[in-house]
Formats: sequence, structure tokens, C-alpha cells
Amino acid sequence: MLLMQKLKRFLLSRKTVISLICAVGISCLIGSTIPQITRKSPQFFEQWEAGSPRLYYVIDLLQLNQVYTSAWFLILIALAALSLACSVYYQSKTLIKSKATAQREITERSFKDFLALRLVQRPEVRGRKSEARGQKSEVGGRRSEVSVEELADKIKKIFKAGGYRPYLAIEESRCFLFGKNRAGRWGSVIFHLGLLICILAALYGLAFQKKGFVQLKQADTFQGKNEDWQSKSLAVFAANFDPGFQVYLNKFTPSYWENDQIKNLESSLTITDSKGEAREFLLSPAGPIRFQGTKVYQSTHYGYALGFILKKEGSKDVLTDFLLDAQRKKDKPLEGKMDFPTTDYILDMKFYPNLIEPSFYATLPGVDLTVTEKGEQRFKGRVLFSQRARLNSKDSLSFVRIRYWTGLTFVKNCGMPLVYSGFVLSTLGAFLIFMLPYKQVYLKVTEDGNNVQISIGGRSNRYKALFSEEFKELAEDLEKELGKHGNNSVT
Amino acid sequence: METIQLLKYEVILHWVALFFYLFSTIFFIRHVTFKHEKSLKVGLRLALIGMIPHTIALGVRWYAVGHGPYLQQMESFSSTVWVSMVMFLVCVYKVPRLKSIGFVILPCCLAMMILGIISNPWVSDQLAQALDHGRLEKGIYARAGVAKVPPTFCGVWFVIHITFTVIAVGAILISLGTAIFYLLKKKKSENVCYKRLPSLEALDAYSYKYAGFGFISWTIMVVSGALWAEQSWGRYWGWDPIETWALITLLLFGIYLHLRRFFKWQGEKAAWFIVVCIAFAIATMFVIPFVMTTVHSQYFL
Repeated sequence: MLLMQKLKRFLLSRKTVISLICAVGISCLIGSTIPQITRKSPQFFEQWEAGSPRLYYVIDLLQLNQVYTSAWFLILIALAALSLACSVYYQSKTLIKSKATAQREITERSFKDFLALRLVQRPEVRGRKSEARGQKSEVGGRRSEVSVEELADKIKKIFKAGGYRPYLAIEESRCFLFGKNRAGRWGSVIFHLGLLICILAALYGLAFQKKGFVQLKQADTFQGKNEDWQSKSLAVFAANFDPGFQVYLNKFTPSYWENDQIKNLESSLTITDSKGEAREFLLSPAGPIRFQGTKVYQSTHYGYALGFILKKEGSKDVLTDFLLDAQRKKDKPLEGKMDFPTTDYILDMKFYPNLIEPSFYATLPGVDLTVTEKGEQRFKGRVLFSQRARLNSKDSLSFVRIRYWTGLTFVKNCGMPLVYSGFVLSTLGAFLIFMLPYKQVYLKVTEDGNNVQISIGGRSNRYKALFSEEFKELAEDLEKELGKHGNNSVT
Repeated sequence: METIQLLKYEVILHWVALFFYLFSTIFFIRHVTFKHEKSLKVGLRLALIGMIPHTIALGVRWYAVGHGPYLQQMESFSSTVWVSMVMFLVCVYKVPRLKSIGFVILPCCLAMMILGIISNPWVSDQLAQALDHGRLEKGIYARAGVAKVPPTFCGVWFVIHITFTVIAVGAILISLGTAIFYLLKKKKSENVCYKRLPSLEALDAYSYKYAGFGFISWTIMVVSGALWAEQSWGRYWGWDPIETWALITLLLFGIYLHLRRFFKWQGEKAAWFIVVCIAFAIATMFVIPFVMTTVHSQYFL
């Protein structure tokens, strides 16, 4: 119990809060200045290690080259989450308690009744000294011909004009509370709750998120099997990523602006679920698809898949597709160097979708091909679509197929609704904290012989200097209004 | 009218706006440095008049290129200046005693405007021709032309992200202005032009208020950017340098706000701290994209 108390005190301590924010900030600074494993190639780190082994040893030991997935960073985040949870719990508790102490919601009638009672009994009301917590002001007035209801309305109007609403009556002390931006009290709780949810969602993603990337050729199907993925990243507790459906690429359509920039990429997909039901979808970077809890995204990686048939004497013809990445400029050919599977042939190609004029679209396609075998050049020349390149007296290579390929990203993360709600809550909380600071003005009526003294006081949870100016204006308005109905003395 | 013709007009209008802002800056500096009262009014009027050609220039560019002013470097600078100016003028309209903060805001806007105009592809071309007598065929020339909207630049989150980025800059500039005037007023309280300003406590509160508004806008910028990234790439956070630095700035603002609330850091200490926060915010927006490889660079530059 004592330990829990100590832990609670530690997590809620102001120094802990500031230290945690500082520590997370410094970690981020380290992560953005020291090269991270996720952002650089393994060769880079090999070179670094070879160049300065001692420094690299320390960096690696402290996990400074993988800050965001390091054990110490996760502990830091877990501590921040605990601190946030405690803060949210105790802030909410305090707010709910404060609401419970409130006597009751004031109605318009009770506000009038209260004033009526005082003023009917004491027709002569002279201003006296008054004081209030936080801010002080003294107002008063002597009643003349004006009716009680009228006066009550006027006082209320003054508060209303300032954006204040009467909401509490503490009858014993004859005190009325006018509040402005009451929702603002909850700003801090909502903001911290939002942050907590964001952290929890991130931790959930780190534990269970599945992400995979495939290069899908037009008229090909992605079966969802392990070997079909081009790359895959699984979270700590995610064993395998099988989306549970098949994706067939009917058509891929890239479109371009007049300055060669990509305008849009569109994939027409047929998704077939495990029961064999097929559905058509149109995928673009602006419109990902959600299917059975998995989101499919259109990648900006795409290009041409060139199909070649290798005819070898004494063996079966082999058809292979070679995937080339699209270039940014249409006057540049698509280039690639790859080996022909199960042979020693290496193909070096430059593909021109249109040999007559630069174009992204394959209208008159041809490929400048260089084929080498064990370092010896077997062919060099231009091969047009459907033409054959003779590699030697026995082998030949035919250019038989051109089609698009495109990258598709599959993501399964059930924590996304949490992320969205966390983001919304933290934004809403920040708005409530800073744009709607909670302000309170109370009006108290006390008797002093034949005189009735009206005191107003106020407080704000933010921008006190600005509230002070607002309060002064409010007090002046009140004074002015009461002064119309009798003598008004202010000291 | 041809696009290129419209873009020439746009550049001319941007230059006109720049000159108004330049003279406005001079008058604001004159007001604070030489305690010249009339200069304040003139400076403000010049800034207001400068907004007219600036608004038309942005409108013309929008019409000519077919997308809002957010894609190219010069568009980002110009729209940021425009929003900052609007926010400054609205702030001054609501709190006339804050007119003097133009002394801080106008030079910042002027610097951004100059950077924007220099990075305008058409201006770059003219400069390149003038400097190299038409011999230069590559390099700066290669930037000529109008950038078109990539397929990922769409959706409500993207619009919110862009909008709140520029609003955040405007808010933190006003906060910077009030913080600097707090420091100046505290140092030289007898100066006539500082007497027009609100009290030290009020200046401090205004700085806090606009820092708070900047914090909200910055939060919305980060959040909407994350949601936009999730919509476009399937990940909402990738520790990209800009994302990381935006988070660092947000954390720094968080420290500032906590220090104010819990440790009663007010006045001078808070004013200096907000200057540091703003330095980080400016570094995040205008330095990091140039010095680090980030997903933002390919669009912003």
C-alpha cells in the first residue's frame, strides 16, 4: 500500500512529468541525429563499425541506433503512459467531486426569487464595500421604481453579454455562481486521456500490427501466402500475415500531368474472400480499401513487367517476367539488371515504352538488351516487342509480354480506431484548455441593516491578467446598471 | 490568358506586396527605435495595403496553376506570410494596444517573402539568365515550371494539415512578438512607445494565449498529418525527420505550458522559453526539410 502511494506520488509529481517530457524529447533528438537502423542500409552500419568500432560499440550497446524500438525508450513510454493514466484518473476524480459539492443547478426562477426576496424586504438598497476571492469589486445600488424581475433580468443580461451563465446557487451563503466555458475544466483531462490512448494504440501496433508489400502484375493474383510477399514487417506478437483473401489485378492505370508528374495511379482489383465470393474495387492513393479488417493501399511504386521466353535446346521453354521501375521523366528508359532464373544469363535492359517519341505508355515498345553469361557477352542490341534475340546457336530469348506491375501495401492494425480517437481527444482537449479557459464569477448578497451589499468575485484557470481586465469591465457594467436605480457608492 | 503570362503578373504582384511590407517594416522599426508615434499608424496601413497585391498574387497563382498555394517552396512561403499577416491584423483589430508587435512580425514576414520570391521558378530563371547571360541551361533552370499536385495530395486531412501548419506559424509569430515586447518593456519601461502596450502581466498573458493557440494548431497539424499519412501510405507515424522534429517542438511547447502551470514560470523566464520554442518550430518548418532527407522535401523543395 505504501509502495503504491509512493508510486502514485512519483508518477504525479510535477518534476516527474517535466522530466518525462524532457526525456522523450531528448530521445527524439538523438533518434533524428544518430543514423537509425530503420532508415539506413545495413552496409552503412557495417562501414561505420569498420571505421570506428569503439564508437559503434557504445552506440549499439546503448541502442542509440534504434532509439524508437529500444528497451529504454519503451520503458520511458510506459512510464509516461502510467503517469498520464494517474493524472487522468485523479483529475477526473477531482472534477467529479467538485461537481458533487455544487448545491444544485440554478434555474432562472430561483435566481429571480432570491433577488426578489432581498429587495422586497429592503426597498432601500445602498451600496457598500464588497470583496471577493481572486478579484475584488464593490457595487451597490438603492432600489427605485424598477421591479425586482426587471433588475434581476438586467443583472443577468450583463453577465450574459459577457458570455456568463448562472448555473449554481449556494442558498446558505446566498451566493450565485456565473460560469463561462465550463467545458474548459475538462480540457486537461481530455487532452491527457487522448495522449494516453495514442500511446496505448502505438504500443498495440508495436505488438500486433502486420504489414506487407507485394508487387502485383496486371492479370496476376496475390494469394496471400507467405512467399508472395515482397517484404513484410510483423509486430512482436504477430506470427504470420495471411490476409485471408486473394487479390487479382484487373487493370492498372497510371496518368500523368503535362509536366511528366504523376497525376494518379489507379488499380482495378477483384478481391475474393475465403468463401469464394468476389468483389470489385478501385484503388488509388487517395482511396485505400478496407476488406475483412485489412487495409490495402496503392503504392507509388509501379512500372512495367517485361516477359521473356528462353528457348533452350533440349529443355522446356521458360517464361519469366522482369519488373522495371517507372522513371520520373518520360524521356528516360526504364532500366534493370537481373539474372534469368535457373540459368547463368544476366540481362541488362533499357526499356523504351515508345521508340518514336518519349512516352510513358507502351505504344511502340522496344528494349535495348545486353545478355552476358559468366562474364561473356552473348547478345547486345535492340529487341522490339515479339522479336527474338539469339544468344548462341542453341538458345534464344523472345520478348513476348508487356504489362504493368504495381505495388500494394497491406496493413492489419486493429488499433487504428484507438489512434483516431486518441488524436481527436487530444486535439479537443488542447482546444478546451487554451481556447475555452474556465472562468467563474460569483455574486453574493449580504445584509447590513437596511442596506444590501452585492459583492462579485471571480477567477479563471488561465490568462489571469486578461481575465482581470474582463472582470473589471463586468464590474463597471454592473455598477452602471445598478446606479440607474438608486444611489451608487463605490470605494 | 496564358499560364506563363499569369505567372509573370503574379510575380510582379508579389514584388509590389514585398515593397509594401518592406516599407511597413521600416516604419515599425522607426516607431520602436526612434519612438516615432506616427510611424506606427503608417506601418500598419502599409502592411494592410500590402495585403491587397499579395492576396491578388496568391489568387492569380491559384488560378494559373490549378491548385492552392502549398506545393512549391515559394507557394508555402507566400501563403505562410499571408496567413501570418491576416492573423496579425486580426489580433491588432481585436487588441489595438498590440499594434507595436508588428516590429517583430513584419521583419519575419518580409524575410519569408524574400525567400519565397527568390525561390519562385520564374524569378530563378530570370536571375539565372541575368547572371549567366543565358548560358546556363541546367541547375537553377531545371526548377522552371509549375509543380502539379501528386496523387497523395488530397483528402480532408491533407487540407487540415496544410491549413493548420500556416496558422501555427502565424500564432507563434504573434506569441514571439508579445514575448519580445515583454522583454523590451521590462528592460526599458520608460520608453514612450512601450507605454502604449498592455501591462507586463497582460503582455505575458497574451504571449501565453498565442503560444497556447500555436500549440493547438501545431497539435492539429501533427495529428492531421499523421492521419493523412495513414490514409496515403498505411502508416501514421514513421519517425521521419520532420515528424520527429514536429514532435520535439510539441514536447517543448508541452514543457513550456507545464512550467508555466506548475512551476509558475512567468514573465521573463517564460518569455525566453517561448523564444526557444519558436526557434525549434522555425527550424522544423524551414531548416530540417533542407538539411535532412524527409518525405516532405520532395514536395516542399
